[in-house]
Amino acid sequence: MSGPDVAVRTMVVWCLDWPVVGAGVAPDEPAMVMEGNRVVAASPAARALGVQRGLRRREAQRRCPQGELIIRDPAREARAFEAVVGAVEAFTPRIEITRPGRCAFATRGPSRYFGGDDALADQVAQRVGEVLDGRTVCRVGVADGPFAAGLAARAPEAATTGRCVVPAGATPDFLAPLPITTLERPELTDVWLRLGLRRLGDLAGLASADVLGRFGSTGLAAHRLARGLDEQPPDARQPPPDMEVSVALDPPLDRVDQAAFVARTMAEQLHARLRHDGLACLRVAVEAETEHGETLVRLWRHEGALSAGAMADRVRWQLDGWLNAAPAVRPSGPLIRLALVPDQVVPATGRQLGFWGGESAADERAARALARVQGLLDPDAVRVPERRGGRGAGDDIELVSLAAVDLTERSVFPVDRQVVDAPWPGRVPRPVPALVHPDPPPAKVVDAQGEPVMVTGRGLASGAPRSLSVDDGPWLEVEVWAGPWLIDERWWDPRRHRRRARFQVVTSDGAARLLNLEAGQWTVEASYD
Amino acid sequence: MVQPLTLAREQIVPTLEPLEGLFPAGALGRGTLVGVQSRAGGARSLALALSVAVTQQGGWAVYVGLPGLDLGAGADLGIALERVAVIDRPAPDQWATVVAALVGAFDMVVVGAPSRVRATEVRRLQARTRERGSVLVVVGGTRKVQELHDQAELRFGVDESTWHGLGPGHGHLRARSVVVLTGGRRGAARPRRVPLWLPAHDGQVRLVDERVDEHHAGADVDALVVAGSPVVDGGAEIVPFPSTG
Repeated sequence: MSGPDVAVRTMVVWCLDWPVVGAGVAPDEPAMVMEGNRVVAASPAARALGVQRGLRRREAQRRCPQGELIIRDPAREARAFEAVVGAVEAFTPRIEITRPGRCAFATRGPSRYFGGDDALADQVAQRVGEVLDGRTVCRVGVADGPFAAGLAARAPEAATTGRCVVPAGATPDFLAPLPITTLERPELTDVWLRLGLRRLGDLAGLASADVLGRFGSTGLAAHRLARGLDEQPPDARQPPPDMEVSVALDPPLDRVDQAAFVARTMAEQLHARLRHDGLACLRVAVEAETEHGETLVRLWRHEGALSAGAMADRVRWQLDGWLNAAPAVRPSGPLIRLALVPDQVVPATGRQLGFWGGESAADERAARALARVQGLLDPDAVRVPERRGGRGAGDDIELVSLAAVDLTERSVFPVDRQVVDAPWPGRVPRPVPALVHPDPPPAKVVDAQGEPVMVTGRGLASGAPRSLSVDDGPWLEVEVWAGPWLIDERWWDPRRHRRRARFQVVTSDGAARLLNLEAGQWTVEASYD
Repeated sequence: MVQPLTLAREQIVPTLEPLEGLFPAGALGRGTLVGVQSRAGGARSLALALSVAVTQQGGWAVYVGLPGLDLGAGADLGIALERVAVIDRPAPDQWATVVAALVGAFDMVVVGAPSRVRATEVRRLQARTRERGSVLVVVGGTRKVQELHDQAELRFGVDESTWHGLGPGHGHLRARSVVVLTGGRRGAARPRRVPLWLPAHDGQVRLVDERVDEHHAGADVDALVVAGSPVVDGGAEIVPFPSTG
């Protein structure tokens, strides 16, 4: 299948600060959404105080101490965004969700019906504005191809009027003066900047054969974008019809936790089929049918190819959005059929697997077993470790829900490695205790006279610990001990200020514990089990 | 039809070299149920140490129902965190189902002993472990689940825990020497004492420089009293390390 090499005229609807809106924060409240210790979005009130995307948590808290810190939850964002997509669906059925907060659709049909791109853009902006109800603003961009349309939605004109329509055929001129970094491919743009290619127009002026010869297929894709064409040439194959994976749901599905399990299995099946044919999927359609014969369809797109885990996440978000939508737009009955249709596929360029690592049969077995346990218990009951760095006992490793990451493609170091390996003054020296009590049990510590051991304001212990009783249990003789190790945390924040003292003690039975004394109360923070 | 040949090294789970003295033939065979208990701490550390080499060599380990487990301790021993998962403590009636779902998919399944378990469930789990070739490690537990440890092919009791580096009012914990008493069924029935650093001053598991004693006069495994995971369960119940066979 080969057509003329022009980009599909596309409209992008972009809702600003969606991670903040999805978390249910009012625009006048200061709030920051964090992911991996970095700010990914900030509410307008927090932005006014200087909080920007990409700031470290500590810096963001310094600039906006009263701001609420929210951990990013893509499922919640997707659920909230379903209402917006529902509003856009009044104009066209095939909507593609790039990520929660941003969706796109081809304008050819709807703009004929609604009287041109300008009229369509106005109506979409108005309709979405009604749904958003002042929680945030939406911007609409129309241009040839999704890349240019996304940039049009961010253009200064869109910021003032709420919409920016690039006339048909004028997309290359619109793109030419934009900085080359808008391609968001740092590995290429760093080189191009050093070569003096500062604007998209500079890149578009080069011959495509030269770009291909020097920068390979990724360079060629970027070159096509800069020229206002689709990233993939028009002969990107439509998938053969039998690629679809569909499941009849019996009993009908109406709970999200059931959906998560079905989603993962289906995504894995589809992925296996595509891989068998040497294909990768750029866009997938999630189709569902209800008991009453309604058919629901949404397209999800991913920059680069969708992995099995990423596809399963998107299916789960979509089902969550449908099943937990407001009563007016919710499907009228439980779902009886679910299908995943690969909508745009390209030949898989292949991923070079490590000789020892990579996705092996063992990895797949483990992932399947964990998906089953997620279905048995709760999607958040299964967690995987990530190194975050920190000075408290148990702070170095954070357990994150498997529902939020991809088991085989995640990184153990989601944050800057230097942060993790930093010296963290004040941390308890190694070895690390194997048991950090989730609910520290209370303890009593007395000296040789039987008086409770306290720590003075100057940081001195009132006496040498002699006996220890945990949770009103039997008294154990303290053989050796060290402390107090004083910690004065967040002294600048009156609400979260903590002042405490730590002791390490070994009792006569040979057990070692890390004790914590705070406001006169002893607790067992950790045990060296 | 010719049955495919399975090499002997495929039937074992890789372990750290200093731990080899713990196993009857010097290697941890697949399909084994291992019980780990301790008198005064060390059971979790030994269970973590058992799973180090397997994750380093591309295998997977999962830790179930060990609340407050700090994998920082495991990472310092060398566990590859990218092939590790942690599962919250399942409700008692789901415990056996969850563990059965993991056995076979993971090379090493480390579980905190549940508060109660039925004998039939234990036998079914053990059969599944043997058939699927995983290693199931049960850590701690009170008298109610002694069944689990009685059934184990291999039993380890961490005893004589001595901490080094801490003095009266000075220093900090640096290293711990323990003696691991072994027991079990069949080849493992002969009790042995294996002195280990858990961890040594460099943070690794090491053999204490002392001969592995096959017939030490004091190595009466039957008489050893070990406590189930002492602090999780309040340290109240003391369980006798069971007799062999």
